[in-house]
Amino acid sequence: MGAGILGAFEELVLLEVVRQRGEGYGVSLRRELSERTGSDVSMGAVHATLERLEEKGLVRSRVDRPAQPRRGRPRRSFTVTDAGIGALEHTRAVRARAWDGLAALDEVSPRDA
Amino acid sequence: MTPESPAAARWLVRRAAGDATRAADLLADLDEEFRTHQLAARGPRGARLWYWRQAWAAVPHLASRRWERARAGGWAAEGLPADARYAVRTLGRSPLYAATAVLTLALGIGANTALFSVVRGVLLAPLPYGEPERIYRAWTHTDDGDIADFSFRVVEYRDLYERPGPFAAVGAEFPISGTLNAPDAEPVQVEGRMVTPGFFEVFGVTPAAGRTFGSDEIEGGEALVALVSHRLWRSALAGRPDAVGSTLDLDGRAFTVIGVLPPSYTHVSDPDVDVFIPYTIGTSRWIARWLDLYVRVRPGVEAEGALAAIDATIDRIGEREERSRGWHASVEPLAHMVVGDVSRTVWVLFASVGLLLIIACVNTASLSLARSVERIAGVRLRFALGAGRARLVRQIVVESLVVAALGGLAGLAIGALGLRALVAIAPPDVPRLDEVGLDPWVLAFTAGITLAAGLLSGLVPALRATGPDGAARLATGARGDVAARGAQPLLAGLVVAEVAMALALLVGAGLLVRTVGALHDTEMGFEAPGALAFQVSLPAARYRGAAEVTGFYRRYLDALAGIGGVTAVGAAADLPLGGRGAVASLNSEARVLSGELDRVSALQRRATPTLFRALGTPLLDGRTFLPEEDTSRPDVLVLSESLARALFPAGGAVGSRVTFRPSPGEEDWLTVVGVVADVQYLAPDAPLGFQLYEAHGQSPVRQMGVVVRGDGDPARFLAPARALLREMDPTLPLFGAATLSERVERSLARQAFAMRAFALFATISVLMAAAGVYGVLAFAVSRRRREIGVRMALGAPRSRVVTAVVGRGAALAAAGIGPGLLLAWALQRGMRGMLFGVEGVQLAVVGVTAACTLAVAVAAAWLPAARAARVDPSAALRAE
Repeated sequence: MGAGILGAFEELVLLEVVRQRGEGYGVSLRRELSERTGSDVSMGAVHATLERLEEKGLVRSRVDRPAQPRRGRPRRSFTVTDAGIGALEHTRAVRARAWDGLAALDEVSPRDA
Repeated sequence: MTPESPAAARWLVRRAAGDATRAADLLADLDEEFRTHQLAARGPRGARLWYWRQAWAAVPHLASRRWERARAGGWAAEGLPADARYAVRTLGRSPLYAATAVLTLALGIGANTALFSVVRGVLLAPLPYGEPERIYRAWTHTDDGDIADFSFRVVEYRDLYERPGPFAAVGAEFPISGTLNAPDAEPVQVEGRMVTPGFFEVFGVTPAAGRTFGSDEIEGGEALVALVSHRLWRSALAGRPDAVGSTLDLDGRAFTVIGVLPPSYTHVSDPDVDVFIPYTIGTSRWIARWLDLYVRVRPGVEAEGALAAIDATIDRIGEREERSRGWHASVEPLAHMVVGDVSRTVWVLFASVGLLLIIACVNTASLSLARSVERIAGVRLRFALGAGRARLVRQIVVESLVVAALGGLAGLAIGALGLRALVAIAPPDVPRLDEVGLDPWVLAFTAGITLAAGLLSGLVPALRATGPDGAARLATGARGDVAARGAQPLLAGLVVAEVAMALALLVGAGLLVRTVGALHDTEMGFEAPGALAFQVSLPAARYRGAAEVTGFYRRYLDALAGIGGVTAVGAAADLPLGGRGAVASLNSEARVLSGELDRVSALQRRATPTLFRALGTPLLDGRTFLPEEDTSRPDVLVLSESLARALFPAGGAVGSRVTFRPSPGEEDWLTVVGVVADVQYLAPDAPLGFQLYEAHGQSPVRQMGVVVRGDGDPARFLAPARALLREMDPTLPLFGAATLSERVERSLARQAFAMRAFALFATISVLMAAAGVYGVLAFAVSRRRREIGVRMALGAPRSRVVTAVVGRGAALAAAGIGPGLLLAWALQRGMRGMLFGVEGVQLAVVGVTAACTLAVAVAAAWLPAARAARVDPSAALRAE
């Protein structure tokens, strides 16, 4: 798993998990992602991505006692693992290499490509 | 009050997630967001809209995750067990469908399980001897004779035994029977064998106790030692552990028991054999062909090698002994000898239940197809939730497999019961029936056909319901009845196939009915009704000479003739339908003189003078034997009609002379005194062949079959016959009693059994086909209620509706008749060896069965037709 780079949405979710320092859960993660991307992110997409990340060992989840009861379901919060950090750094390095030499996209016109 | 999130959207998420925990987690998050943020930000209506959008947006992600989990964890992780649970739930909601489908498959699987047990036990299981494929039975024959299975001469056996060549063991046997006398017990007739050295080595048998015969017992004089079967050890020796060394009184002589055979040993030529005594070849008295020969070849030797070696031996002996000249050998693998006769019948029956199972699968498939069309709404939703076609096909197939599994379990029970019934009513001459049972092979077979049945009856409906047509119709939101209309031709085609197969089985049953009828009617040369037959055997110890034997039988027959109601009494060494018995070759004087030295083979019978009257066999020319014709008088013979015609084509048999010897001296001639009708000694469907009769007074035999004919029920003569015998000699058993009619029935037992079995399978298949016709028509009627309602509202009379439905049923049946007859023709060819008196196309059978099939189809169509006629036009129009 280490060799692969993260998908775009996976990277966004994982970065948000990092930001929320182990307190992030479905609702909070989705809300911040919606703010950051400017669109109404799908809760289902967030859940699915968190499941995948956990399967790959990039995040870890734990069950919390809810501050207020929510339909009898305990809250599940997520923390990034060392492997997750490694994946983020690897992905950033790969993206940096991909962007290398392209200072600003508007400097490149279709005629020059 | 806080507005609630939309329940329908929550339901959607739950269905899409497929996993209650994951659904609950997602819903908890959505609800929290709904309550804590969205209600305030968008208001109740906007928040509900937001919730719906979230729910719909979640569906593809949830489906995708389910797929990933299923692939990652293998199909078992979420697929099959979930599908199986779902199948059980949906089946539980349609108990009538489930019961019908399970019962249909159970019948088909059960019949196949029972028949396969027979196939396995009788035909496929290896014989209970060491390496049975290396054992052969050998026969001899002459070039010109029409009898191909003579036995061997002692000198031929001896040569093979001493110079075995390609054989690891050579052994022979000769049948004997005798009376077992025990103190305080009724005398009992036992079957036995005289066996030569090497016999038990051929079969790889070692005794469970004691030993087999040693060389001194064989080379020396008459050795009064015996080996007994496990069965006899338990009955006559009370299963004593010290049985070896005890004595048995056989025919008045004391035999020492030297060994007991293991319980697994079944004698190859007759399972009733209980006693073995050594064939003392050191004092071989017989020069005739008496020995039944068996050989075990060395590894790598094939039938041709065995045949060549035996032929070479016979040729070598023929150079110095005339009686072996011109004789040749043939060999038969042991398995073929044991089961050859019945194998075709068993395979044909097995094929017929195979057809039955296919009919059952087709029935279940059409039920399932009709059902999946009914449930198109469920299919549509699952498609919408992202289930791929493969997934849906799998779901429907799993449901079929669940039905099949239940059918398989029930079928196993039905098969076990059916097997017990089969064995109970099976004809007595079916070999190895005691080896038939539900062994691991049978269970594996049942599991296999259950799986096949589930796949077969599930795949077609599954592919059909989810196929491109199905998907396209779903996409356009077409109504259920459009899908139904598309399924109709397939359903109809399935039912037509069922009708065809059922018709073929019916024709097969009809052919067997004709066969049994023809066998009953065939001329057998004697009058079956009104006569009783039984066996009496005189032990050599007390009835040594010819005079004593003939005197006993004369006195006994005279006494029997005195029983009230008796009109005729006779005796013979072999009775009709009793088997081949002794065979001899003879020639007429005219042919010998003219140089036609090829002798004619005939069944050799010894008879008392009144035998023919007792049997009801017509005397066609000359006379029967005279009571005073004994060993002091010139030898006489009676010939059967066809033998007389063969030896004396120009006529004039009576008064002519015949001989058994190839180079006769003056003392070797016998005079023909009479000609009688041909009698059937073998089986009703065998050619009659040639028979010759010697006078019992001139050629006495100790064991005779006695025939008593009289008025009324012949069975009532049994008790007085037994009493008279006991009066004359209380140590003599009377055994093998049956009326001649019973003997005839027993000889037909195999064909009668096949007929009954076929009739049963044919009936079940016709009922299933009728159920299929009913199902298709009921389905069509239910889908076209609106159309029917419109028609009736527009003035169509109810009778026209009924006619239309019944007519469709008749059309389905009629369409199946053509292919059914083709299938029946193929079946008839496969049944060739089982049929008698049935050649070519049997128009009567075909006509009757086709008419029956049509009638049953029309009857099956009646109920849906009646229901269609009862449709209330206004209700039907409103319902849509």
